[in-house]
Amino acid sequence: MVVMDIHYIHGDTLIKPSNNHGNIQELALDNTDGNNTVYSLHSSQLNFSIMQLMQRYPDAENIELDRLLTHTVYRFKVDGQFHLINADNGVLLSPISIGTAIKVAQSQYSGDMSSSDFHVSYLSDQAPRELSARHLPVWRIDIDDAANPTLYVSAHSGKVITKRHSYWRVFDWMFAFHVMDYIEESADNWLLLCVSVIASIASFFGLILIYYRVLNQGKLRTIVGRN
Amino acid sequence: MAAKINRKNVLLDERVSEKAIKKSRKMKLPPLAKIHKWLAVLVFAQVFIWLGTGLFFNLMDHDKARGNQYRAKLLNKEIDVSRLIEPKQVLTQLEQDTNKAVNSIRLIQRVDTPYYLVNHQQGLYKHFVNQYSLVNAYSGEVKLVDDKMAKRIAKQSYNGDGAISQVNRLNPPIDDFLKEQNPVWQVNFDDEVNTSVYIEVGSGRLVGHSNDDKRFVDFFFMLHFMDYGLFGNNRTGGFNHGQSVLFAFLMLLFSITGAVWTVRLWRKGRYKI
Repeated sequence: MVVMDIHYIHGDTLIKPSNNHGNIQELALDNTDGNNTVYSLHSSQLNFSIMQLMQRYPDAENIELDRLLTHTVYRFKVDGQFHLINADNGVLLSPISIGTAIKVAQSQYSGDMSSSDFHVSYLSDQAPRELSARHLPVWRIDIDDAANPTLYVSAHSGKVITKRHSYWRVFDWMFAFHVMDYIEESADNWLLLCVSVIASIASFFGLILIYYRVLNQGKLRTIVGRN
Repeated sequence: MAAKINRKNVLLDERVSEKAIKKSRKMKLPPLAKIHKWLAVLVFAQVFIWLGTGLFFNLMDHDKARGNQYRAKLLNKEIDVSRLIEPKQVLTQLEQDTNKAVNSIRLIQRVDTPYYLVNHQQGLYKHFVNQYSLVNAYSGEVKLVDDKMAKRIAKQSYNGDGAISQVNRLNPPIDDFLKEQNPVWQVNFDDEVNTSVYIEVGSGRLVGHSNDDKRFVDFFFMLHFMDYGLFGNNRTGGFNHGQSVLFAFLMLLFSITGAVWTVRLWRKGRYKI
C-alpha cells in the first residue's frame, strides 16, 4: 500500500489537468481543445441574468456559474437537487443526456476515449459500493483502457463526481484487510482489537528473544538447558 | 561452558541425529533463522510503534480525533436578491481590470454578506492550489480576506468560550493540516484544548478546526505512517515515503521468513501440545 502514490490511487491522474493557469490573451488564442471545450467563462456567453434565474427559481441555492462543454451554465440546487440552465438563454439542460455525459467524460478523461471502447449505463436508484447513493442518478462510464477506469457523471449537475480504477478498488480491498473490517472498513472493531493485542504480546516475546539471541546468547542456552 | 550445555541439551532431544549435532556446532541457527533474527533487530522498534499506534486508533475516541469540539455550523442568511449585482458585471469588470482567466463564479456567504467567489486557477480538489477573487455581491467591491475578516469567520464557526489570542498568516505546509496547499489564516483561541481555526486566505473558506486532541492523534498518525520528515524531506501527512516502503519491505521479509521457519519446524515435529 505504501509503494503506490495515494494521489494515483485516488485516480487523480485519470482527470486532465485543467489548463487554466494562463491569462485571457493566451486563452483567446487557444481556448479550445479537440472537443471544442471552452476553458474559461466569457461575459459574451452570459446573457441570462441572476435576477431572471431567481424569478424562475425563487428557492435556488448554491448558485454557481460554470462551464458544461462549450456552454456557460448556471448550476444551482432546488430542494437539494441540482439544476443546470444555459447562462446564455436560460434553457434548462438537466438532467443531461447520454451524449452530453459521454462528452463530459471525454473532455475530462486524461486518456483518449476515442481510441478505446467504453460502456455507459444509467444508475438511478441503486449505487455501487464505490459511489455514495446521494449522488444518484448518475451516468456510469466504464472505459476499456488500462486499469479499467470508470467515471461517474452526475445527471443533474453534469459534473464528474468521482472516478475509480482497478488500483483504487484493490487498495480499498487491501485497506479492509489492514483494519480487519470487511464490511465498513473502519478501524474501530473488536476483531482488530483482539488481533492487535495478541500481536503485541507475540512481539513482546519476540523482543525477549532478540535480547537473548543477539545480545546475550549464552543465557538463553542456560535457560533452555535447565528445562 | 555454553557449548557444553548446548550439546547436553541437544542430546536430550532424541529426534536430533548425530549429523545435526555436528551441524549445530558449526552454525547455531539455519540461514533462514539467521535472516529472521537480524531482520527482527532492524524492524522491532517500528513494529512496536505500528502495533501501539494501531491499538490506539482502534480504541481512541473518534469524535475527539476530529478536532471539532467547538465547531459551529456556518449558517447562511437570506440573500436580498434585489440588491445583488449581476455576475456579468463582475465578469466584465474582471476582464477589463485583470487578464486572469475565470473558471467559475460562485455565489457564497461570508459572515452574513454575499460574495461572488471567482476562481482563476482550479485545483482538482479544494485543498489543492487554487486562486480566487472575492467580490462583494451587493457593492461589487473586491475583498481581500484580511486578519479582521478571518477573525470574524473564525468566531462564527466557534461555539466555545475561549477568546481569540492570536492570528497568524501561514504558508503551506501547515502543521495541523498538512494536505492543505493554500495559504491560510490561523486563528487561535485560548480555550482548554487550544483550538485553532484555519481560514483559506484566497477564498475565506473554513479549512477546519484543530485542537490538542486532534494534534495528539495526528502525532500518532505521524508515527504510524513513519512521516517523520527525516533526511531533508518535509512531512507530508501521507505514507508514500522511502522509509515506509523500506520498512514495509523488511517487515514483509521478516514475516515470510518467520512463516517459512514455522512451517519447517512444524514439519519436523518440533511443535508439541
